[in-house]
Amino acid sequence: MSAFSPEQTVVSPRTSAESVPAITLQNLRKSYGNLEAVKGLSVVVQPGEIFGLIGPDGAGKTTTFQILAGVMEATAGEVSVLGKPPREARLNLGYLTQKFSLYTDLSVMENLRYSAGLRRVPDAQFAKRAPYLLQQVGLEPFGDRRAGQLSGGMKQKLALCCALIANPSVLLLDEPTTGVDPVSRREFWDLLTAVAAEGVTVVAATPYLDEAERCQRIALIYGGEIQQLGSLANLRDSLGLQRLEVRAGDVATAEQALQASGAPEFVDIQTFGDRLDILVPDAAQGEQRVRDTLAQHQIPINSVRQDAPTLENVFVNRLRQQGSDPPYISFPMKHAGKPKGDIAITTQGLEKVFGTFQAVKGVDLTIRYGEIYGLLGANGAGKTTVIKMLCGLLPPTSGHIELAGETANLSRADVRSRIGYMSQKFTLYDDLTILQNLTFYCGVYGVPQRLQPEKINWVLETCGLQGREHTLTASLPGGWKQRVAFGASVMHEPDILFLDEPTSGVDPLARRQFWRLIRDFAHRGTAILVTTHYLEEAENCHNMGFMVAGEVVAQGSPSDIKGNQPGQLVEMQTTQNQAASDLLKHRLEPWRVSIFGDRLHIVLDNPDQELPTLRQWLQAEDITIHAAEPIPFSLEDAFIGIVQRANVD
Amino acid sequence: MNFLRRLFSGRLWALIRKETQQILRNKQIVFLLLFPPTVQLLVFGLALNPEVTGLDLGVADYSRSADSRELVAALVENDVFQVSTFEESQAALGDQVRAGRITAGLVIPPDFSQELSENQAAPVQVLVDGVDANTAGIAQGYVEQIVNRYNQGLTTPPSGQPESLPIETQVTFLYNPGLLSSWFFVPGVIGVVLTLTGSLVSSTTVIREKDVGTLEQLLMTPAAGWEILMAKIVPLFVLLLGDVLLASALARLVFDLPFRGNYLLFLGLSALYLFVCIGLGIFLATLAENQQQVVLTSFFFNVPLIQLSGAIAPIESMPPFFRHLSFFDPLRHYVQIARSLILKDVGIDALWVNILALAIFAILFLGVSINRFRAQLS
Amino acid sequence: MRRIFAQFLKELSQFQRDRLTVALAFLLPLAVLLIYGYAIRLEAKNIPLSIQDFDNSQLSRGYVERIFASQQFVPAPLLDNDPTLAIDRGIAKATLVIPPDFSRTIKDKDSVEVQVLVDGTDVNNARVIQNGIRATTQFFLRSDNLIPDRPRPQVVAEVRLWFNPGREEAFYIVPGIFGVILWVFPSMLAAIATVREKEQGTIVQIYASDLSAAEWLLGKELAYIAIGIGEALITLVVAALLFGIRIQGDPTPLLVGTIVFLAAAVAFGLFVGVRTGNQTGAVQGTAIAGFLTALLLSGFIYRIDNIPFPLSALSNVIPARYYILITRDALVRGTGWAGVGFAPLAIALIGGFFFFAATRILHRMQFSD
Repeated sequence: MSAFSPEQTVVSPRTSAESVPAITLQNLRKSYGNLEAVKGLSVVVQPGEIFGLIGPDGAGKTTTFQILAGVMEATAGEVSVLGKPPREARLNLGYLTQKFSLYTDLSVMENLRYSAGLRRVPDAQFAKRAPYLLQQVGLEPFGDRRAGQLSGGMKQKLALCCALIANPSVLLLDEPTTGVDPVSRREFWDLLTAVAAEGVTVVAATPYLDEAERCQRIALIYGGEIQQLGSLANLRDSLGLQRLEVRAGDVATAEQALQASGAPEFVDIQTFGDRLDILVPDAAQGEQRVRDTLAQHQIPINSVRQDAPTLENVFVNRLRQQGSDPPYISFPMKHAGKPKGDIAITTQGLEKVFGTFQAVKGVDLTIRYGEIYGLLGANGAGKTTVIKMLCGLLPPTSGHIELAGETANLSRADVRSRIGYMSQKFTLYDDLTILQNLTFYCGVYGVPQRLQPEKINWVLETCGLQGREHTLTASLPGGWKQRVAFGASVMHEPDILFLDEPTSGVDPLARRQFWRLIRDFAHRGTAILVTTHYLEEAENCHNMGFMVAGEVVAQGSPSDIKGNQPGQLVEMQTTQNQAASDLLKHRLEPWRVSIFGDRLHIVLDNPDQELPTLRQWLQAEDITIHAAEPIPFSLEDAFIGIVQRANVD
Repeated sequence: MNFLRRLFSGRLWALIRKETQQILRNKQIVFLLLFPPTVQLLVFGLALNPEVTGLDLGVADYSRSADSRELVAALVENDVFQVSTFEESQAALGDQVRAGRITAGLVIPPDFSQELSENQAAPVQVLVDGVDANTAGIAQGYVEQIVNRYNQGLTTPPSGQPESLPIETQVTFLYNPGLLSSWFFVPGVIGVVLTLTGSLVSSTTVIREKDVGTLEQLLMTPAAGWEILMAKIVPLFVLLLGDVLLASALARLVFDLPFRGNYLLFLGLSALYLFVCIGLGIFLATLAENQQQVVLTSFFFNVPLIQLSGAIAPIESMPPFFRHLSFFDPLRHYVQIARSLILKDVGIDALWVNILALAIFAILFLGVSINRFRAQLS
Repeated sequence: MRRIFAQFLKELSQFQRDRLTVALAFLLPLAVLLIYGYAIRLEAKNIPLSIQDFDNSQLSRGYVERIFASQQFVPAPLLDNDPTLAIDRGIAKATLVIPPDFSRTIKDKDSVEVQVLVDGTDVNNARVIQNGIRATTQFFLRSDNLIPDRPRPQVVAEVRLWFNPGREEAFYIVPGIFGVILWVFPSMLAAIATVREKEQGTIVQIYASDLSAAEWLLGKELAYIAIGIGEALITLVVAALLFGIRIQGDPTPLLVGTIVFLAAAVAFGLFVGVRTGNQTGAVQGTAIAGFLTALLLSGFIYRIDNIPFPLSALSNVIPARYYILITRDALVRGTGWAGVGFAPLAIALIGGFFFFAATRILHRMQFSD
């Protein structure tokens, strides 16, 4: 099944004869009752390695981490950490869970001190190390703040400090960046790379595949087994394909046209925001074929680039081969939507103050029927507060809101029946079955009895849950819950739809399916307000606003936003990306430099003049630039620039 | 018909069905509805007994005469006292009282018998441990009564009847001729059980939505606040009514309570009281932010409710301030209703004040909760 | 030892962060103290008594006057000339029926029967009413010289109430309240603190360190004992101010007993906390089990000897039962170690069992499947 068997591909960066492997798993198995979560995992991780675990929800990643951390017993197989059983190695382990395990009612310093106490850190060492770590992650001004009052990104950095306070040799990270914004995510990974450089072994699971590209080796697991294992290059080469990055006027129609052509050259066609990634055996032939096909359909092409496949390409392709691409079934619409272009939501000078904290400052928005509006911003920028005010859950401190033609009583029942709302996490009742949840939402939104079976079936089919509708919702992996929750929030065909991070924790294939459905609803005339931390998804939005510290700092269509970015973006590949990034951040303004997977993105005002200087700086540190070429801004580049520049001001 | 159809296809029905499914899934609630009420009723009914019998009596008999032995026999005759130790000296007897080993000590002086035979007053000393003021008072009363009887016995020939007094008090105990203490406690405890279980279960189902975060989602549906709450109330109400039946079955079968009043009226008024309890629980849940707070505040409310209700200690004995305060205690009214309907045979005409009070409390709690419900997120 | 201390400090700082919990932790005991201390009076006073006087003579009126003179009874109206109606309605607790030939019969030196109808619902009250009417009747007869002077020979009982000569009921109730308060609240707080770590997932970090179950629990144990000592001090001070309670004699049994008792209460809370999965369960476990047993099976309200067999056996393992012996001795009787020496041992034994059981449940310090 898999192209590689794990044993064959033990490519380890620092193998030395005398070193004990940091982690050895030999045929690891774990069952919960009848359910086999992990079915024979074998892997060896060397000291100082950054090892990535990727896979869809429910692949067995969390279980593996729990066994490695010694907090759960394996059913069978051998596990050794630093040459010992995990329980005996616990003091040399740092373990970050998805929920961070922080005491929200303790301050930053108290959390740190407690972790140090747990792990027998001597006072003297703590006194030296605690300020150092806090300074490293930029938390030193917040030593007295309670952990519960930190933003998601800061919590995660604190959790990292707590794990690092005892100088562990192995760091286990179970999707610590889920729901964290792109800037904070990068900062977090910069820290991890620095930690690994000191010889700490890092094993990390992540839903963001660009993060996984920063790992030295990556294991792709699903179904409780390792399907592929190797370095990024290994995984890419295993595909044996080239990637064509196609930018066309209308990505969606272009994709349809290419799919419809049925050309054998197009092994896989994947949408990434404003571009199509087409995997082809031969780049030159493929490109010709693409140009021909699109010309036939009179679809203008902006650019075609040839490049190596990304990890996400690999991941999506492998999962599609597995047949786990969720089906696309169009929603059974029963009544016509609102006329497109009419105003659905407007706000003027929207403000919200909690105590002394101004969460939202003077927000003006207009969203029309048929429009997808993306509200983007770092954690804690005030996006969720805006949504809650718009749908009448929170009264604004001041400002004007008009929702579905209603200005006064936003929480009136008939207004609410025209709104769909999917909150960040908790849409479904864990203690009900999937079917009971769906029936409940149909009933409470007044979907007529005769239409209910059809709509419920649509949700079940879309989520691939037919035959499992009597499963307790609590037992579903997080990504699947999100899909059901989305279904539950649209069954009554709302005119206005609020989606707060709908795709958080959802695997790449299902995310694509999500957006197809969202576009369908918009097409039918639904006004949609959505937040997300996956910026390439945000390309689907017609308009968007970037929020920083409660304010909308930039607004417009994706192309407006990208077009308004200062300077020229240059993509580089170097021998040592991390070191290069650290150096350049020091020399240039920090917002100009960021790591994208195995590339560096640098914003330069005048590339022709500045590039040679950069080359010199890097050369002085023995870093070589393999390639550097100007590329168009992606939304993620724009996001990083906007957010970081606004934070500097 | 149309109304019924609307009800069963509408939002309210969807909400009620969801709540019922959740409750049935939650083993803990089912357990909570069955176990504590049963245990509480049994423990209260069996363990609380104010009767004063078998008090440990120590005797220091310096007289060692037939008369002194007769006095001791008179004291232990009706089981109020039992002699547990004979001591040599008054000091030793005092030590026994001090160590808490005996409740009362009787000191009979050496010249007791002689003084009696000389027709002089013969003092004996009774030391009573006053730590338990209630028991001490009753013990004191008994000692005096028994000694009185003993004295009357001395004036008449040993074989004859004691002379009858000019006024004989003929005491009849109404409703509870056997003076069974369980008959007093059980109706009160039914009220206590309903209060504790009802308020705890209802506050739990509401606070859980807030804790987990589904409340937001629920508030975004077109369902009105009263519909959401009504849906929470209806299944709990049915289950708690089951508790009423369970409690009355226990009362009837285990404690043999007479249920002299109209049982349907008892059920109906219990149902009214259930609304008060559920209303209180939901009200507390709208005040609190998390489970911990709701539980602590419900403690804060329930303890006074129970103690001022007369379920355990009689209201008449309370200081005037608390006696008046108890009028604002819904449980007091329910306990009065339950005792009246279970032990006495009375009707609405005797209970209307209590019924009215319960109705007012029910409307008040539910009304305030519905009002607060939507506002609680901000 | 250092790690236990780190636990201890962390628990305390966490506790003091939640203002409402802090407030309730100290206000609830006081509320319970006030309610029980003031409102629970087992001794019946002001009993409403209605009179049906068919005789209505000077003598019968004198008799009635004498009965109400004792303060034990207060007059209640007679409804519709029906002696039971007022009792049915709950307006009166008893009715005294004086027959028409009352004064005539007495003047004839004959014996007359007065009927007393007593509401038997409240058993304790009913007995008190019976004794009260009988005693006042005796007193009436003697003071109106209706019975001959004291017959001789006569035994005179000189009853002396020790320790509490005024029969202050607060002296009985308040020391008992300590047994309830200091059991229920520390155990509840400890149970919540334990179960919250499970609910919020912070326990994973503990599992992932090499802290042993005993160390982890001991840190919590010490912290909540400290909080319990705070509660005990506040309760004691307020009880001293409001009810005039003072420590009698040797204070060491109270000191040692309180600490041991708090330790047992917290251990019970920890045990419930590690057994249950959520806060509601923990609270129900501690509140219902703790409150019921500390209230009912400890001899707090009525004498422990009245508890029938299966429950009486259970009452032997209720720490509050032993602690109440200590508080009553220390606050009223004042005998000291001689009277209650075994009590702290019994409490320690039961508390030790709970602590051991809690560590056994957690001993692997891992997730169970």
